[in-house]
Amino acid sequence: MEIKINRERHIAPLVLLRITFGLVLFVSAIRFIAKGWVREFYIAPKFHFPFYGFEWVRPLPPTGMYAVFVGMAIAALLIMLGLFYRVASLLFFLCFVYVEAIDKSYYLNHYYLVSLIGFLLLLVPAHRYFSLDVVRRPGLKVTRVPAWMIDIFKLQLCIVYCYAGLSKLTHEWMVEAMPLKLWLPADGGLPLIGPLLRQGWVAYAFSWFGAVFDLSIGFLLLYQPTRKVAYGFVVIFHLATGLLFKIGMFPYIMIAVTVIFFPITVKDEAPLSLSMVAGRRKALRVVLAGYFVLQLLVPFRYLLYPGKLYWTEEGYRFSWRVMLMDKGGTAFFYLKDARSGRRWEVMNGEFLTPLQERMMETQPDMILQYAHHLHDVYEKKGIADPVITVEDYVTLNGSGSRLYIDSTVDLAKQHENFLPKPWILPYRP
Amino acid sequence: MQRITLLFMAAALVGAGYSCSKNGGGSNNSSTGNNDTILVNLGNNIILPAYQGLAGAVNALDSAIGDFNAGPTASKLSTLQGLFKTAYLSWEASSEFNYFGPASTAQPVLPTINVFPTSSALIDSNTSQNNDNVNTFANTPAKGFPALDYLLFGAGANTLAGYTTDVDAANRQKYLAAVSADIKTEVNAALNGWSASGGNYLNTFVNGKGNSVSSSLGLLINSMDEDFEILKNDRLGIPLGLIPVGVVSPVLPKEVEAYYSGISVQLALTQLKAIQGIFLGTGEKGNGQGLINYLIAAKASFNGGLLSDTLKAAFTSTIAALQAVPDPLSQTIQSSTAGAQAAFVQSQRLVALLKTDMPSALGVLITYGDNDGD
Repeated sequence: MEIKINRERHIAPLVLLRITFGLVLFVSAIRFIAKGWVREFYIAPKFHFPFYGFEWVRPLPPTGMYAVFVGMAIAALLIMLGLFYRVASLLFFLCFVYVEAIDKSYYLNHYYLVSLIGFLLLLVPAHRYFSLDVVRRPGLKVTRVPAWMIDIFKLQLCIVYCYAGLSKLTHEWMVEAMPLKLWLPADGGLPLIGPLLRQGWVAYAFSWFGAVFDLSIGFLLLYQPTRKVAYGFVVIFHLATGLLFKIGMFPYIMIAVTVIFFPITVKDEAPLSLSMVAGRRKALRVVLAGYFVLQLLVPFRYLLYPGKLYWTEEGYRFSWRVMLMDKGGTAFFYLKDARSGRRWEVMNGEFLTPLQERMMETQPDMILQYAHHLHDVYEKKGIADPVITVEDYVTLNGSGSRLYIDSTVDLAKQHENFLPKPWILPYRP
Repeated sequence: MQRITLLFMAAALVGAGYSCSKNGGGSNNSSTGNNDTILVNLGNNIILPAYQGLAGAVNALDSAIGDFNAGPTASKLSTLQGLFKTAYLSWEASSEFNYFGPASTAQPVLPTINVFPTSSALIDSNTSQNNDNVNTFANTPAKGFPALDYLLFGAGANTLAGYTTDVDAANRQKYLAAVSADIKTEVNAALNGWSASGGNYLNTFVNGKGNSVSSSLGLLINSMDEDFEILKNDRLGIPLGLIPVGVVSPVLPKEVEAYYSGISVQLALTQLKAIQGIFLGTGEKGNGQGLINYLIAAKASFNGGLLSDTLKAAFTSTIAALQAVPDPLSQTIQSSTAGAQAAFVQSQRLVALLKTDMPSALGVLITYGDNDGD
């Protein structure tokens, strides 16, 4: 896609994006509170799994956590209305990213996408047309903005779809139709298409169609003659995924953000161009260049690690790898007193919620974090430098459970870093 | 044609594909589908008869307690002790179904009648103060089968005297009757909830097709797995000192189930065989249509072999390991923990197969949490 820096476009697509994004994220924040998830995810757990390098991010006391979510909802509403946009978009971004950083148990690719769109919205004047800010201060109004301000969102979404498509070009997805072969029959009770979902070939049809859709939809949305049909597909397909899988707000978020592909022209209007200081334009150019280079490279970081990506999950997150595997585990953590030689099996339920435990059991970096936590807890309880080991049985795409982590390694002595984790046992098919 | 069109539309959706990357749920071809003969067998021939058996046993126990209290004798006590063991064993054959349906929605939930170890001190103080209101939260450790275990076996050779010559004899009789009545009420309520003549949850169960978390299969597997973890952790792990209670836990003989009657291993074996019965479809009056049939239909594999074979073998070896441990468990583990530890290790492997492999093969989500996927 070509991004001409000095070309101008009507601001309307940005405004439309601002409104749909604000609306969907407002609903999303309210839904999160209404479902009791603020308590369940951020107040009830005794332990959290922060991202590497962000261990200093801690949850606030209960009132504070609710305030963050209420603030997020209000900020989303203000974004939609275009009222105090600059402050609102910053507040939304900070609240959202803060919440996401607290615990990686709840990481979802679409939350990552919301964070990215939230960041890009900070950089553009989406409030300077058809907004309460313009009503408040008519001088803010502009009708034309540099084309790149719209194109960055298109580029971002094309990256999401293309990378999601590329990640499907694997033996598992294309040749074995895994994991859809395991998942689709679960919806066999649906009216109309239910009986078909139980057919073996249907999983193949879905897998291949999915890969083709992901790889092509971005381009079909960019290309004017196919745009309307492509958007129709986006709407139908995302709603259908919502029907088949438990994915919450995701379909609505995608339907909301892909509106950016529609150029909207408003007739009979005096052009009012956005004026920008040269220095500011230059700075934005540098920031965006860096941003997109990272966006393009980060999903490929897995190539730097040995072993099977789905098994080790080293370089898995932030890469638009969605619904690619069926993975589950059962982990027995052991606490050993080196002096007496005595060993106990830790009850994970004492420290983790069922959801945290389930996510931890198949993700080595979380296993390590939890092991360190156990070490510290039992050291405080009087066992000098306890040895922490794990016997973790993991199954990948119905392979049958096998040991995941070297059960002889004292995890309390291992440390998190970006290097490969030698204590993950290799996957043998 | 319209169906095909819809299907293809749905197919591409996967493209944008944002769904759970973890255990999403789904079974292999036709494994669950419309095939409800397994649910019918499990419901009609295994679950309902298990609750009927338990209700019959606790009703018999309760009337024998009435008879005993009318004129306590050594022979009546011995009858009572026998009936207690029968009832407790029946409990183990039905406890697998207590974490869904009527038993889980009762107030208090049915599993509260088997919270062990019991508090002998609390029971003693309740008897001496003539407090026989056992159905309070505070009295949870002083009610149910563990309380009967203490009341009927706790004083050894002096047990009968506790109901005849002891200063608290009359109070103790009342307390014994109250504990038994409470068990009887709770068990019969659960049975009534399942029965066709009562709440008819049986009908809900056999028609709860599919394999979502709220399907009968999902509920049963989660309930059974939860119950099995009690076997591993509470019946074996904690008494053996393999699980930290506080920090340093040595062997804790008094933590065993049925400490006073000394039938801990028998109870655990009954429970384990009941779980095996659900798996094979052979429990109670089962006709051989069990969870294993889903796995066979799904051709679920396990490291090159069949998951159904692996699980069958794991049940057999865990049962064999447990059978090698003599009762009373509390005494066995004080002289040697090796046998019971071997059974614990076997049960760990079985837990992993039941919690990870079976649900994954059947597309049943093992979760108590609620979250979106991506």
